[in-house]
Amino acid sequence: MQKSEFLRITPDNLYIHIPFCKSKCHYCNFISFANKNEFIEPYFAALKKELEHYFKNYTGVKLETIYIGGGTPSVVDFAFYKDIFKLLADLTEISKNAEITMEINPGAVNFNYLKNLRSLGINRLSIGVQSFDDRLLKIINRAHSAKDAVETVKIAKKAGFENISIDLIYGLPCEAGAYAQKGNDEFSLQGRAHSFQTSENWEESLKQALSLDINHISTYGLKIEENTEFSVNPPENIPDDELQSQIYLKTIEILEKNNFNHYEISNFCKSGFESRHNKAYWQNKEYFGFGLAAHGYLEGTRYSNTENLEKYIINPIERAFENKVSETAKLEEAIFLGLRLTNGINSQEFKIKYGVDIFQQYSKIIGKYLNYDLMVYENGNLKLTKNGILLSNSIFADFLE
Amino acid sequence: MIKNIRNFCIIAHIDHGKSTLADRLLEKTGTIAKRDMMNQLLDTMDIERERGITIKLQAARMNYSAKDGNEYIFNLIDTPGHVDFSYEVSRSLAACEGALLVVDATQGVEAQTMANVYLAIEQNLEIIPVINKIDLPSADVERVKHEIEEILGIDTSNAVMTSAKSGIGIEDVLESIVKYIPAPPDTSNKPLRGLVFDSYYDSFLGTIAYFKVMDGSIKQGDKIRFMANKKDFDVTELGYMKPQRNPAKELKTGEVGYLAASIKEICQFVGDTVTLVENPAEEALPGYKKAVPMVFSGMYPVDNDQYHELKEALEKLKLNDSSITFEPETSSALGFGFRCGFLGLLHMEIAQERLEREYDLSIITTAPSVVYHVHKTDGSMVPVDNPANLPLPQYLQYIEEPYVKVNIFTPNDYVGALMDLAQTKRGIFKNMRYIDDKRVDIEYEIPLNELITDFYDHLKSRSKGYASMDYEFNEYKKSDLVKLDVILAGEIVDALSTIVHRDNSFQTGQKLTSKLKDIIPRQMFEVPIQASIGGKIIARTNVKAMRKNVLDKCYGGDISRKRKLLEKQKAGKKRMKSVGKVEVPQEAFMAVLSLEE
Repeated sequence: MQKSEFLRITPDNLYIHIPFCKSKCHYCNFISFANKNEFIEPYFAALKKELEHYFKNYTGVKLETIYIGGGTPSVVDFAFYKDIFKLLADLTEISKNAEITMEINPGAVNFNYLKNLRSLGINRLSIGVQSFDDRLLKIINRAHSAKDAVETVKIAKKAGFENISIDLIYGLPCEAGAYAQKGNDEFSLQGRAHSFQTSENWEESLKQALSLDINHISTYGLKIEENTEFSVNPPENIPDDELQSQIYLKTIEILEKNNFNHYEISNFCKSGFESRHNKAYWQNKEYFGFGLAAHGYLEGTRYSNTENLEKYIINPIERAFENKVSETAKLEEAIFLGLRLTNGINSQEFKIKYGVDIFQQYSKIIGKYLNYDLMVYENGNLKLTKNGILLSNSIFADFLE
Repeated sequence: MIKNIRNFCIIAHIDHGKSTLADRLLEKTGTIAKRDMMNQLLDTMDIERERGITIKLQAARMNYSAKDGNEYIFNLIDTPGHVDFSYEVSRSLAACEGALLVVDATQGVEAQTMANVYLAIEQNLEIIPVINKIDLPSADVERVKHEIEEILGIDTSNAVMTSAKSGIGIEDVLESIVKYIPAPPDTSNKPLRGLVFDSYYDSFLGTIAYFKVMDGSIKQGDKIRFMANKKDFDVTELGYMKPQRNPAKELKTGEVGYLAASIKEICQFVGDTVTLVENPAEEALPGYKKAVPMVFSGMYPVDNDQYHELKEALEKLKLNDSSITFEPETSSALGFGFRCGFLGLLHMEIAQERLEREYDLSIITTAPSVVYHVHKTDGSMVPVDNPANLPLPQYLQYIEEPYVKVNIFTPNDYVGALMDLAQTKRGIFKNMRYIDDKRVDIEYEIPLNELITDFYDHLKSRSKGYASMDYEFNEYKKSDLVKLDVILAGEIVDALSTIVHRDNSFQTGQKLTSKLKDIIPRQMFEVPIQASIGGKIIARTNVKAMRKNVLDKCYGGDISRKRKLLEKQKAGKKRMKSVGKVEVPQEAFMAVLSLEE
C-alpha cells in the first residue's frame, strides 16, 4: 500500500460493516447474523485493529462521508460506536461537513440511543422501513410494524436528525387471498387479479412515506437472491416483471410529483439531500471499507475482507480478495456505475478523468441504444431513458469487454 | 522377429466393455503400471471419457511373454463402436491381422457389432470371440454363443470367457492372440510401404502419422515420400505408442508406429502410402474404402472475426478425422462459414465439441440436412445439401431424397413400439426375422432425413435402451417435399430453413415456432416468429419484450459483485448469434431436431 506521499490521492469516503441483526429477513443475503451477539465485543476489537493497521499507512486522511451499514448497526450498544468514533478521530480528520450515516431498523431504537448517536456526529439515518403494511412485513420476516417505523422517524427528528432516508421494497409477495377480504377493487390492476402486493397497496406505502416529511427515499424491487430463506422456500405470488416495471414507473411519477428528485436508479431525494456516500460509488471514486465482508477500493485495487466472522475476529488485517482494476475495467465500471445516476455521464468529464472519448470507444453500443431510445444524450450528458433504466443490466453487460 | 508380431483390434458395441478390456491388456502386459492407469486409457479425448465411447482409434504396443516361452509384440489398435464411425473402423482393420470380438454376456450381439464384424470378415481378419461380463448375474453365455454363431456365422469353439472389469480371463485372451492371430506376412525384402491409418497435428513436431509397415523397413533420418501427396520429407522422429510416444531407431515389417518429419503443412495423409525416396515402391497400397458424408450442416463462428480460425481448426480436425468435408458457404443470417459433411449426427456433435474445446471456438451449427436430388423443369438435376439453396418452386419438377436400409435389433417386447416409430418416420417395412426366441431383427427403409433427426433417441427411449440399430444407404426416392422457412422479426433466417414432407409441414411449422419461442430469450423488443411455406404464413407466435432487468441494491460498495453479475449476463450473450437485431442462442438452430412427437 506504500506509495509516494505526493502522488497519493487519499479517498475521503469510508464504509464500516456491522454484521449483526435481531433476526434474518427472508429476502436478505447480506453478510449478517442473528443470535451472534456474543461476538459483538470481539468483533469491535478486531475492527479497531483493522482501522489502526490501515490508517498507519494513510496519514492526512480527511473524511467527507462515513457510512455504517449492516446488518443492523443499531443492535449494537452505543458504547462501541463511541469507541470507534474516538479512534477514527485519532486516526483521521473527520470533515466538519461530513455526511455520517447509520442504518437503523424501526422499533429497535429509543430516543436516548438516537440522541447519543447524534452526539457522535452521526447526522444521517437510513431506516429500513421496507413496507407500511404489517402483513407484508410479517411475510418477509421483519421484526417491526408499520407503526414502529412512523414512531422511529418521529423520535429521530426529535433527537436532532434532519437528514433521514427510508428504504422501501416493492414487488413483495403476499399470502394468497390476504386481500380477498378487502373486496375486488383492492387487487385489480388493469383488470388482472393479484394476491400479492398490488400497485394500490404500494401507492399507499408511498403516501405514508411522504407524510413522514423526510428527504430521501430508496426503493428496491424484490429479488430472490441465493442463500436466502426465499431462495429455499420461494414465495408464491411474486409480481412478474411487467407488474414490477409498472410499479417502478408509478413510483417515479408519484415521488417526482412530490418534489423528490429521481437522481439514481433506486434513489429519490429532495433538493440537496443526495446520499453523498453512495454517490461516491456511482462516480467510481475510491473508498475505504472496514469490517466483515466489507469492500473497498484503494489505489486502483478493489478488495474485500473475509465473510467468515471467526476468521475476521482472529485476523482482521488479511484481505480475502484483491483485484487491480485494469484500464478497460475502470472504463466499464465508470460506465455501469455512472449510468445509474439519472444525470448520467458527462462526456467531457469522462474524457478528462479517463483520457478516453466515450463515444469513440463505445460508438457501436451507444449508437444502438440511442436508436432504441434506451439512451439519450442531453446537455453533454449521456443517460439512460426510463425504459433504458428498466433494462439497465442488459445495457451495462453490453459495455463489458 | 516378424513371426512374433500380432496386430489386432477390438470390435465391440458401445458399453460391451471394449475400453475396459484394452486397459486390462495394457495392465497385464506391464505396459502401464496399475497406479498410472487412468480409466479407459486409449480414449484420449475428454469427450470420449465423458460420453464413455471411443471415437478416435489409438494405437498401443505391448510386450508379452507367452506360455510357449517366446516374447511377442502386440499392437492393439482401438476402434470406435458407434454407427457413425464405420469408416474409422475400416481404417484400423486394414492395419490388423486379427480382431477380438467383444460381446456382452448379458446383452448379446447388437446391430452395430454385426456391421463391424462384416467389415473384419471382408478384410480376412482372424476373429476371436470374447464373451465379456460373464460374472454378472444376468449373464447368459450359451445364448450369446448361439447368437454369435447364428447371426455372425463365427465359430465359438475358441471363444474366451472374460470379465474385464474383474480381471477374469485376461491371460486367456493374451494366449489366444498368440495362438490364433497370424503374424503379418514377411515382406521385409521389398521396398518400404507404410499404410498411414491416422494422423494428428502436434504444435512441436508437426503432423504425426500413424502407420503400419506393410513391406520393408524405415529408419530415423530416412528420406520418405508420401506417394499420393507426392511430397518428400526427412523422418525426424520414429517410434511406437506405449501408448505414449516412445521413440525407436527403426520400424520393421509388420510393426505399427508413428513418424514425425517436420510436416508443417496441413495435408491429407491418411490412406496414403509412405515409401523411401531412394528405393521407392512401384505401387501404392490400395486406399481405404472412403466414407461418404451423409449429413451436412453449416458451421459458423459466433463471432464473425473467427472465420479464419474456424477454417484452420477444420483443416487440423480433418487431419485427424478425414471423413469430415467442408466448403465455404455464406448465410445472410450467419455470415461466413462452412458447409460441413459428416458421417452422422453423433459425428457432427463430436466435431462441434472438439472444435469448441480443442480450438477454443464458439460455433453455431445449423440443423443437419441430407443431400437432396432436385430435378428442375429444364430437365437438369442439382444436388442440394442446404435447404436455403432449394430452387424456387416454379423451377422445381420433383425432389428425390436418400433412403437408408435400417436394421433394428430389439427384444421382442418392443417390436410394436419400434414399428410404430419407424412408421411415423415415413418408414417402409421390409422384413422381420427372429434372431432367437427373444430377439428380433426388423428391417425398414427410412428417409435418411427422418433418421438423422431424433430417431436414435426415440429408439432408445421406446426400447428402454435395449434396441440397437445400424443403417446403410439404399437409394434415392421421389418424395413430396417442401421448404419450411422461419421468419424472425420480419426477416427470413436462411439458417433456420428446413425441408420437410408436405404432409407434416403444417405441424412442423407450429411446433418449430413454439419451440423457438421457448428457446429465444426475451429481447429488448418484441420478436415475432413466423413459419412459412412458399411465402404463405402457416404459424406465428411472439417472444415478448423484456420488461425489467435492473440491479437495485448497492451492497455497501460491492462493485465486484455487480461486475460479476454483469459478466455472467455477458457470457450468456456470447453463446448467442446476432441475427439482424435478434440474439439467437445456438440451440435454436437445432430446434427442428427435437420437436415433440
